[in-house]
Parts: sequence; structure tokens; C-alpha cells
Amino acid sequence: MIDWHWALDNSGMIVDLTLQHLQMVLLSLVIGTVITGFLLLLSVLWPAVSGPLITLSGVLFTIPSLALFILLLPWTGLSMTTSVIGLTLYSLLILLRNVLAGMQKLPTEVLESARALGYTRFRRFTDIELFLILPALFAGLRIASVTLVGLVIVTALIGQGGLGQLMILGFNQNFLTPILVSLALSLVLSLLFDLVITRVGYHLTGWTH
Amino acid sequence: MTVLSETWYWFLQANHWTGDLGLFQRFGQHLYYVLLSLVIAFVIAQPLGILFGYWRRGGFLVINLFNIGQAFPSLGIILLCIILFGFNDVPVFIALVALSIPPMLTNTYVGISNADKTLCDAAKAMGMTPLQSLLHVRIPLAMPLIFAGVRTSLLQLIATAVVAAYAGLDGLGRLLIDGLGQRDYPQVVAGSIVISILAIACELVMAQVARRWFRFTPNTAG
Amino acid sequence: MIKLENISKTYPGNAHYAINSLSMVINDGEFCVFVGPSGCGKTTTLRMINQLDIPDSGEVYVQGEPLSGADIIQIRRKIGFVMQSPALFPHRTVAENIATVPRLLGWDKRRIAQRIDELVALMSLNPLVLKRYPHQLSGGQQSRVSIARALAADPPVLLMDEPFAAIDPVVRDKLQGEMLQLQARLHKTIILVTHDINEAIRLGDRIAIFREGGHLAQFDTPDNILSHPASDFVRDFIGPEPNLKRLGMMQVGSLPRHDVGLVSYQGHSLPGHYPLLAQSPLLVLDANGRPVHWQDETPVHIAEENQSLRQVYSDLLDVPKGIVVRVNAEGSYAGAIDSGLLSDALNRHQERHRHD
Repeated sequence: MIDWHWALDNSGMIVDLTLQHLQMVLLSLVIGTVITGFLLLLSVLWPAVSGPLITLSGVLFTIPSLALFILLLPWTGLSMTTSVIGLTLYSLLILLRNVLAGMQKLPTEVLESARALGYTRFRRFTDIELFLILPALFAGLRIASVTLVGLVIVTALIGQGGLGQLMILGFNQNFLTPILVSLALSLVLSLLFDLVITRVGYHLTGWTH
Repeated sequence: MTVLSETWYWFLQANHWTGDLGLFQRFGQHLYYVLLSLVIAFVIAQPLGILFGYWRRGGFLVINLFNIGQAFPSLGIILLCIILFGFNDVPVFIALVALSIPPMLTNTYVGISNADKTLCDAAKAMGMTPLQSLLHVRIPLAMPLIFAGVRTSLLQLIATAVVAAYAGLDGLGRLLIDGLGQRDYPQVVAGSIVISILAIACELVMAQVARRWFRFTPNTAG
Repeated sequence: MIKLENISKTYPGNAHYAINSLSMVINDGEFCVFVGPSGCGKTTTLRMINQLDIPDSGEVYVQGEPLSGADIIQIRRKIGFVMQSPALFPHRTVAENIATVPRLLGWDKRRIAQRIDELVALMSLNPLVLKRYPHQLSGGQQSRVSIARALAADPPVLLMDEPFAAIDPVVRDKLQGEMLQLQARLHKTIILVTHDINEAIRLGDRIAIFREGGHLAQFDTPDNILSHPASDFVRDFIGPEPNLKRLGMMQVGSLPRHDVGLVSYQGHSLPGHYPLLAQSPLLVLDANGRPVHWQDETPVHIAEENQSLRQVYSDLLDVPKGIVVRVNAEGSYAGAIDSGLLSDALNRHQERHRHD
């Protein structure tokens, strides 16, 4: 099934593409998390914002990924940046959904007692809500990382992006090996991200165990 | 901004709508693939989900199948099937069906196995046979989740069928893939707009159906 | 002092007032208890004192300052608040929880550490829990930490919303006693909401009985309310056996000391300096003066000085020998009680207040 010779011969390219894939996903996750933080603060200071945000992310998430990426084209052009912007958008959609839902599930009596003790709204967010939302954030990051790894295949179709190139290569040449290699490696990447994010999340939420 | 105005003009040309390569044709093809795959997957997934859920066996397998299914890029599976089974519609169908089974299977499994235990016990106490309790109690109780599974699969299918155009499938995806190949950006953007509207419309319809059918159930899956 | 002036509040969708033109004054250093049936507005009234709820009309004055237009954040930092659920911050240790308001006020680390030590002693906390997280503590411990957190910045006012409602009866009893001791030392202005009339009688200097619509049915000392209920509603709310309830106001420590006969482990008789009870079996004390058991080996029932007499009264009905032995804070023998002594005390109390 797999032509190991081909894999060995092209190991350089395979490694490069995998690293590229990893970089794109990592970068998008990081930027996505930061923007999520700001949007969260926004929705805390202006609660009217969170409803429309949830609706908007829901709508955007419904759109098939290739179509959504293409809709960005008029503004971003065809390049690596497009991929990262698209991936960041997707990570935002997933993270926001998780985090905004999580905010509504925070224990109200804890937040109320913070209010009663004399916390300002801003400080209540930075001191308490931000910490309590970490589990939801990390659950979202896990989903987002897996989704993003899968999406990079789609970005290959618009011309730039990691392991998807292998798939296109294999398909064009009617050659099974690159396709299998890229599938296997994307699975490995997904697992890797999942593992690392879970570990990091575990360490940052010491109070839950 | 010129891309947008070009796209607008693209929409204004009649031959982009009618004819073998027109929007209507593509739309019909897309619906054909999506609905056919959905029905086949439904027929396979639901009985399995109900059986597994009722016996509470294989839950581990089902849930992990779902997770793995989410991790695999759908295009990869499609391309794999084509290379393995040949370059025509059948392998693509196989891939589409295979990809839409996990959401329905998992949701049905969870819905049936987690049906309110008190109510199921009440059914048993009333003297219902297992089949009757399944038909009259468990399945109705699980309907919100079963429906959520179908909804997820439907939307996933719409998206995957778009991407499958790369593998040669007809449908709305053709506008994107061909357009990208020909660097015909108005076509590409126009195609994306149509696809987006289709996806959003389906989602809205499903949401409305869910809200109206399941108004009285305690927990409706989103 | 805390003053409520013509407070009214409705909730949207409700035709009736939740609170209608309520006015009351709570004095400095007073332990005031709000009590009443569900939905009478007692909790809402409490929450208007630190502006967690805002009145539709009327004004709330805390230490002379009107709340509307004031910097409510600063005022809240000078009011301790305890809820029914301990509501400790789960992501912070016990010590960090207690240090919340001092940190908000900008105290330096040394002062905070010192204050935590004081509070640990004050609330009878085990210093070991300071480094633990809230979910690792029992319900009673969490309650104590919650109160410590409210007292951390030494606020002159303490608001408590059914703080002991979710605690099991044995621990609740103990916490109530500790609350009384606390107030005896700290002299804060405390407002506590409860639905339990017995808790109100035991704890309150004055009790405010609310009825639906936030109306004050009676606002007076427990004694006066028990002796002279202002209306049928109050009478019904107090419930049967007002005299029995009156016992709830009194503590073991207020009884004159009487003794039983005392012997040591070895059998030597020990001296006593107080009058003996009518029936006086011999009580065995250990080397530290702690009661071990009666001479015939039956177990002895003990009570601490801040135990309510109502509890003692019901205990006396089925303890061995019909005698409850008093112990001090260290657990050493401090006297004995029988039902005769209790009756005398109750009669004397009624005599004193007969003409109020």
C-alpha cells in the first residue's frame, strides 16, 4: 500500500510540509486565543455584544470552509496570509462559542459575592472570570486544534498549506502513498495538539483537582 | 472591490444560471448527492445507533469513531476512496456516506442510551415489552438528539460535497474548483455566495423545525 | 448606623410591591435579624443595604452616607457580605480568599498575613486549611472561611443572608454559638436574614419580623416580641410554646453555678464550692478536670457555655441522670444543670420582664 521508498526519498519535503502545517495551526490558535480574550472582555463590559457575537459566529461556522475561505479572497488575496487569516477566523468561531457559553455557566453565587465584596466589573473579570473560564477555553482549544489541522487540507486548494499539498500531489499522480502519508501525519498532528493542550490546560487549572 | 462588482455582473448573466453548467443544474446535482448520501447514511446509522444505545454496548467504539472521524480531513478520505476504488461517482458516494454516519450514529446512541431512566423504568413497570418501550418511550425521548445528529450530518454533507468537487464530483463545488483552476474569480466568489446561502438556509430551517417540534421536550440539543 | 427611608421596590411583571414604603433604623453595634416567611422581602431589603439590589424609591443611608450617588464600590469594601452558599473563589486558596478585600484595599503583604492569622484564631480555623482549595473543605469549614473573608478588612457592618441554612443542624448550632461569641468581642453592626424564628431569637438583639410586601410586622427585642406579639400574624409566626422559645435567648453561661458531687479517677472526693443540685450523683473527673463519666460508668452529657438553653432543655429530657454538665472552653468541668435549675432561671427571667 505505502511506497516506503518514496516516503524516504521525499522525507525532506514531508517534514517541511508537516512543520508548515504545524506552524499555521499554532499561529492561528495563538492569535485566535488573544482575539477571543479581547472579544470576551468586550462582551463583559458591553453585554449587548455577546448575543450578536454568538449569532454571527454560528452563521459563519455553518458556511462550508472552502466557501468561507474564498469569501475572504477579495480582501486578503491568495497567499499564506489568507490561510492564516481563515484559520484564525475558524479558531475564533470555535473558541468564542465555547467561551461565551462557558461564561453563562459560571457559578453565579461566586460572581455575586465578588460583587458584594467590592470588586469593580473590570477587576472581577481579570481576577475571577478569566480564571474560571479557562476550562471552557481549553476544551475549545482542543476542538479548534483538531478542526484546524483538518482545515489546512482545504487551504491547500487555495494554493498554500502544509500537508494538503501531499494530498493534491498524490491525487494528481494517482499515487496512494502521499495521500496516506498526509492522512497519517495529520492524525498524528491532531493527537499531538490534543495531548499538549490537555497537559497545559491541566497545569493551568490546578484548583480543579 | 472590483472582484465584488465583477461577481455581481457574473450573477447577472443568464447563461450562468441555466444550461448544463449553470447554477440551477449545479444546485440540483449538489442536492442529489447530499440527500442521497444522507438517506443511505441514515438507513445505516439509525438502526445501529438504536441497537447500540439500547444495549449500551459499543459506546466506547462509537464515541471514538466519532472523534477519529472528526480528526480526518474529509477530502483526504474522498481522495483515498477514489484512488482505491476508481475515478467515478461511486467511491465518492462511499466516502460521503461514511463521513456522515458518525454524527448520526453518535447522537442516536447517546440519545437512546441516556434516555431518562425514570421514564424507562415506568414503561417497564407498566408491562411494555422491550420493543414497545423502545418505540413508545426511548425513541421519542431521544428525538431531539437524533434530529441534532441528522442536522449535523446534513450540514457536514453540504460542505464535504463542495470539497469533493476537487475529486471530480459535480455540484456547486464545481464552480469553486473550476473557477480556481481557470482563475475565474467572479465565478469562484459567486459560487461561494450561493453555497453560503444554501448552508445558512438549511441551518435556519433545521433550527426552526427543531424549535417547533421539540418545544416541549426538556433538553433540546443545539 | 443604617437607615432605610421609605424604601419601595417592585419587580417587573409583578403587580404587587415586593417592598412598600419600608422605613427602619438599625443602630451601631446591634445584631439585627430579619425574619419572615418566603417572599416577604427580607432578603431583598438586606441586599439593598449594599446595593446589590436598588430600591425604586426611597433612600438607604449607611453610616450617614446616602447610597445613591455614592461610590458604591468603596462602600461595599467596608461592608462584609456572607451568602447562603459559601461562594468561595474556587481558583484561589483559602488564604487568598480571605485576603480578597484587603488586597483590593491595597494592604501590604505583612499586614494581610497578620490579619489572616487573627482571623484563623477568631473563626477557629485549622491553619492547615489556609493552603487548601475550597472544594477540599467541608461545608462547615467553608462557611467559616466565608465569614472570615467577610470580616477580613474589619468592616463595621456585616450582612448575612441565611448563612447557616445549608449547614447540618449540629454544625449550625455550633456556628450560631460562635457567632454570638464573635459579636461579643467585635461589636459590629450585623444584619442577618433567616427564616428560622429560633435562630432569630437566639442571635438577635432586635428582630425585624417581615410579612408579604416587605411590611414590618414587628421590630423589637426578642423578649418583647415573645411577651407582647404585635399582631396575630406575629403570634402565628412565633409559633407555639413561646416560653420554650424564650429559652433560646438564654445561654448556659447565664445560669448560676451549681455543682454535683465530684470524685477523681482514683476515687478521691474533690472539693466543690457551689450549691449542689437536688439530686447529685457523683461525677468522675480526670487529671485535667475534665468530666469522664458518672461514677456508675454511665456516660455524661456536656454543654459549652454558649449553648442555648433551648437545646439544654430538650437534652435534659433524655440524658442520663437528667443532668447536663457544663464545661468551659478548655473542656474542664464548670458546673451542672438540671431541669429544676432551668425552670427557676426561666421564672426569674419572666419575672424581670413581666412589666415591660
